[in-house]
Amino acid sequence: MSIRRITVVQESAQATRALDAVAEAAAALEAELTGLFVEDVELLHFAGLPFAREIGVFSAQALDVRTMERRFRYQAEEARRALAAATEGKPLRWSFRIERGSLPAQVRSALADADLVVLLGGHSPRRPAALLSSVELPPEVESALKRLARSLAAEVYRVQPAAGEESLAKLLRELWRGVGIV
Amino acid sequence: MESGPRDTTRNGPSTAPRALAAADLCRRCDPARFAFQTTDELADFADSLGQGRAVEAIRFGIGIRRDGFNIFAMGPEGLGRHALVKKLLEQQAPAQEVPGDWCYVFNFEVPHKPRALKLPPGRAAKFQQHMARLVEDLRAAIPAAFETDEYRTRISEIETEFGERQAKAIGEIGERARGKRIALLRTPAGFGFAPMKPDKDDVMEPEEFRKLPGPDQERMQQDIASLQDELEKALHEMPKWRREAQRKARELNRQVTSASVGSLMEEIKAEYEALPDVRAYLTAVQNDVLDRVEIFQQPKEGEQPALFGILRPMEPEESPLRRYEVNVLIDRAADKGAPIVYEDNPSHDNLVGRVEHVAKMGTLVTDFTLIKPGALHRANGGYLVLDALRVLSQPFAWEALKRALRSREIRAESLGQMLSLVSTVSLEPEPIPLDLKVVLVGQRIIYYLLHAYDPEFGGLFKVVADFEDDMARDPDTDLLYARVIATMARSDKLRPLDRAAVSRAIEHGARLAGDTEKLSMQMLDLADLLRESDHWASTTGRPVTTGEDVERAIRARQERASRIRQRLQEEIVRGTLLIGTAGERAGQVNGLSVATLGGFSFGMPHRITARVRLGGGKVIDIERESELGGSIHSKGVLILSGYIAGRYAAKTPLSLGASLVFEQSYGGVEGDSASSAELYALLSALAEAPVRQSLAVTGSVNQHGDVQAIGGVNEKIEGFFDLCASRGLTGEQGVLIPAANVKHLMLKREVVDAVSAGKFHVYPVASIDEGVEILTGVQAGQRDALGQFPEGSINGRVEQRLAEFAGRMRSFGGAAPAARKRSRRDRR
Repeated sequence: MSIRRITVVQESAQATRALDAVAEAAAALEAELTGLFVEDVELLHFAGLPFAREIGVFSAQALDVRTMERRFRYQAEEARRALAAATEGKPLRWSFRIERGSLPAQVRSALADADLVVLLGGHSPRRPAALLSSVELPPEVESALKRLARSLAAEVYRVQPAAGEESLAKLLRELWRGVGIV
Repeated sequence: MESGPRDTTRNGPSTAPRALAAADLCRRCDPARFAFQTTDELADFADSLGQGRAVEAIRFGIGIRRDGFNIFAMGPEGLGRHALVKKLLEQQAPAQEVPGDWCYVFNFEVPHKPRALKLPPGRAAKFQQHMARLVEDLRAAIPAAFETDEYRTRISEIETEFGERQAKAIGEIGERARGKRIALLRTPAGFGFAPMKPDKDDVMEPEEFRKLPGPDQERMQQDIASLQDELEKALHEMPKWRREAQRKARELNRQVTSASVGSLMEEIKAEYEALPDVRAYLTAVQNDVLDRVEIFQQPKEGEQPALFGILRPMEPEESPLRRYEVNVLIDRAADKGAPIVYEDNPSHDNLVGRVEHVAKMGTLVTDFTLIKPGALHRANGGYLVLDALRVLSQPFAWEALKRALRSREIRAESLGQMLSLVSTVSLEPEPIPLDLKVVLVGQRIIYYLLHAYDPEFGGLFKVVADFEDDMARDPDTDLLYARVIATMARSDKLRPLDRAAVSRAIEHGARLAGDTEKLSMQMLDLADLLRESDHWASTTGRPVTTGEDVERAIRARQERASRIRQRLQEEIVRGTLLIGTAGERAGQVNGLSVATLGGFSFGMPHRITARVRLGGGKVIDIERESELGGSIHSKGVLILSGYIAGRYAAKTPLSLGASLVFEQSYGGVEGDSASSAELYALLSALAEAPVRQSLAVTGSVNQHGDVQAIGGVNEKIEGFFDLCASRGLTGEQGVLIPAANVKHLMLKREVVDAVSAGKFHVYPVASIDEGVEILTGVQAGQRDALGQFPEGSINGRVEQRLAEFAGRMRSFGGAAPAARKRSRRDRR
């Protein structure tokens, strides 16, 4: 069996080179590429609290749900544009979708649909990327995958199809220490 | 001398001079005197003919190496000033040292003031290549240094250290928060704290939070507030840590690259051991390279190489390596000796150089590579030849030239910059020391005007080379002139000229000089005559240019220019312009004038008339009254009054009223060459003695009645001759000229032939008495022992007439003023 569908979980427009590498790999594997932007429900919950405050390096400001949604819209649009740019000129079918929910749940459902889920680093360069797959990958795609992993500086994880949301969340937390809860 | 028209006057022996012999009218150059057949046999004449003074001056100016001894070569156009200057400079320059090359390079300390570097001749281009190669080598060596494992390990250490420090600080706060069941969240632009669900690590939903008891809510909010304070403090430290990391990374970059940069720089520095300025520049380059190693790394496509954002964003069209280029301003690799530069268009920018601009993103920008040299740069260390009038007619060029010579340095700045007309990014290139000799070539009037009105001129142009317009003519110089002709013919690739052609050209030279004893130095005119003669020789298919061809060239030239002369003569012949060439009339004399139009001069006769009556002693110059006469003409007329009063009315009041006019003259009249003609007209009117209209007169007169020399004598004689010839020569016709002008006669062949056939006459006249006798055929008369003029003589009749006027004036009641008073009273 080969890789038919790849879902790339995007946080924003950053890491265009990584996105390029993913698109290239998808084209090489003749797989369909889906960009996924997750509107993290945890952040929406946070923004819904009356005392929600966002603290940055330079400033701190109060947040509400509308502001957070606006940010999501903006980031999703950026992500879509980045994916369009990365796939341009490549013989490749691609799509982009936005889902609201918890990130582990969304990654899990993506793993159910796709043969390979790529987690890209977000706005922090320190956040490593990861390749997740719930299927047994045949040796003939192994080399393409390795190449992709190398160019993303990512690890490849085999995720059991039966793995629950909890264990995925744990993996994500280990990987990212960030999206959602640090 | 041959016989005059009459040997005696109507009442007494004549004192009038005889007409000139044909031989006196033109000093021929006899071809038989030359030993050669054609100019091919003559050696080239390498020297400059007859310009000894100018040559000496220029040689002196070239030789003296002191400030301000620049040369002004002055004289009229066509003397070969430029050619002579060029020749003398070319003799001198090759023996002199080749001056150095000049480049402009980037100034690392003050970027808008590019530095000038001097290199030995021919080295600038090599230096430019060396620098280009250095940059290429650095582009390979520096990225290679960054590729090494050593560098990678150490930079990742710095990165990791920074990252861990960050993570640790935030992580600690996160842990503390978790202890209080509070989650630290990463938001799109920072961090936030939110209460956790009691049973799970998820964020508590707002509704759930609101359902909590009030004190719990309050406690959580307080906890969150204090965590927020803590986090803010931790985050404020981060920029400092980042700067620290950046500094470490930069220091690492410098360490890593300095070894490879150093070895490359040592290589190139060794080449310029003897040039301290260049070495200093190379040291500055080395430091700059180490400070900005990042510009040697190829930025990865589509992504900014991210090392904590140290790399500054680059404009796509900006090449950061341009700063290491070398702008070779002057390259003397091919030069032999000191440079000689002739700047044909000495505009301000062409003299001092300019700083060009290029349009970038809608604005004009420039840098040191866009500095362009001017003529001063190119001639530095040698000679710059300029046309004075062109320098003066270019805006601000003269000022710029003087400033450069005064300050002995060249400041390349464009005119717009100098006048503050443009306000765009600009440069102030370091001035380049100037050591050169300027040769200005111009008309004499320019030299004298500059000397009079520009106080700096005298100090900057101390050597004047004054070119002669003509040279003495003798058999030796005739031969030299022949050699000049031979040289010109050869250099212009013309047919050789035979002896007759050379002779004719020499005669033409004397005619141009307007003097039998001089030869014109108008080399341009001579060269043109030779070219035109060669053309006519070519139309006949002759291999040699002959005298006939030269004659034809001279005639054709006159013919081409003589439309107006012909029209005027035609109108005289048709009777529109009234000029007599036969018969007699009192108070009317043919005067002669010269007109110059477009470089072609020709003589024309004018009818001058005088009327006399009783009056207050005043000669009215109608030209002056009508404001058609110039001041010199007026002066001539006033002299007449002086002559008449002094000679004929010394003891009685001059009770003459006279008027003088140039008939049918509608333009201005200037000059005093008609004053003798006017006096003859006046005397003829007073004496009531008719004047022969077959004669024309030229010459000025003084208060004693001496006839003085005038200019354009040849043109005047020929002008009257042409008119007479077209009406038919009678043998009575001729021209009276000042005796002092005889040496200037170089008349055309037709006149000479007519004179030798007795059909035309030229009378050299020294005094008014001589002239009046020729014109009237009546003896002028000298005072006898009793102080009386002979009865019937012109002078006697004039004196008698004036005495009559005076007597009549007395009969009116005394002197003229009294007469006027009375007449005024009468009117009342």
